[in-house]
Amino acid sequence: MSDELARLQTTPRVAPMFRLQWEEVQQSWVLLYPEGMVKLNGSAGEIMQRIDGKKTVVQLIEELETAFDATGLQADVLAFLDIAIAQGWVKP
Amino acid sequence: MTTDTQTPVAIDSQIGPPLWLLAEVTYACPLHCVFCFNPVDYAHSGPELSTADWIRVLGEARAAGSVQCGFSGGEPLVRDDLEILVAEAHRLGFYTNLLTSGIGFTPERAKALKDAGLDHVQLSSRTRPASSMTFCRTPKPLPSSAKPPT
Repeated sequence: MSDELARLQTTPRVAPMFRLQWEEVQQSWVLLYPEGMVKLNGSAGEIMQRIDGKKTVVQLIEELETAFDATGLQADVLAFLDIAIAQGWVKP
Repeated sequence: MTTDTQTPVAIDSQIGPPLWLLAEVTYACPLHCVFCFNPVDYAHSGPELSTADWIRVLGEARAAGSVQCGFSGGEPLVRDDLEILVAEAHRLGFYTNLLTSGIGFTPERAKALKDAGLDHVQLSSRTRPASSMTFCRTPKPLPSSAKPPT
């Protein structure tokens, strides 16, 4: 569990090569990178737009739970972060 | 068998926006590579778009949903307003790419373009002498005596 606790205190940031922004025409958040684009689904967009290199993972989870009046989002957020880090979109 | 040519072809209503704007900002280039699509008949290629025209085009493309902007040519570094165009593209929300031979890519211009918001550079290694090109490339170019594989 100590690994997970440590992880919750990390402050992830969008990787330098990527540009994250809302695309009005596509009605979605996208990640732009050389010669490519990742179109994020709704949940991924809500998580990614809050990642700023300052907020800890636990703060991100709290913010999302407040915004959506929900509880128990930790597992989903951590699962997404696993993917985002593996894809190189996010630096832990 | 007869074909009803009047039947409209079903068009996918979910066609996405044009994601890439390839801005060929000039036909001028100090190189004349034999394989290039760049026109060779410069006398009839007409004037280039002005800075103001390109700024308008960038805005129109962005409004249509384009997200990637490639500055190409010709050699885009020939234009001395490239920093202005890159800055505008960046401001509009494009991911900005420079497609260049590197000729004219001085440290000062590289810094100015980065400051303008340039995200990415694609550098083609087309240079003389041949040893410089060989140094830059993998796989190594074939010797001029080599025959293409049959």
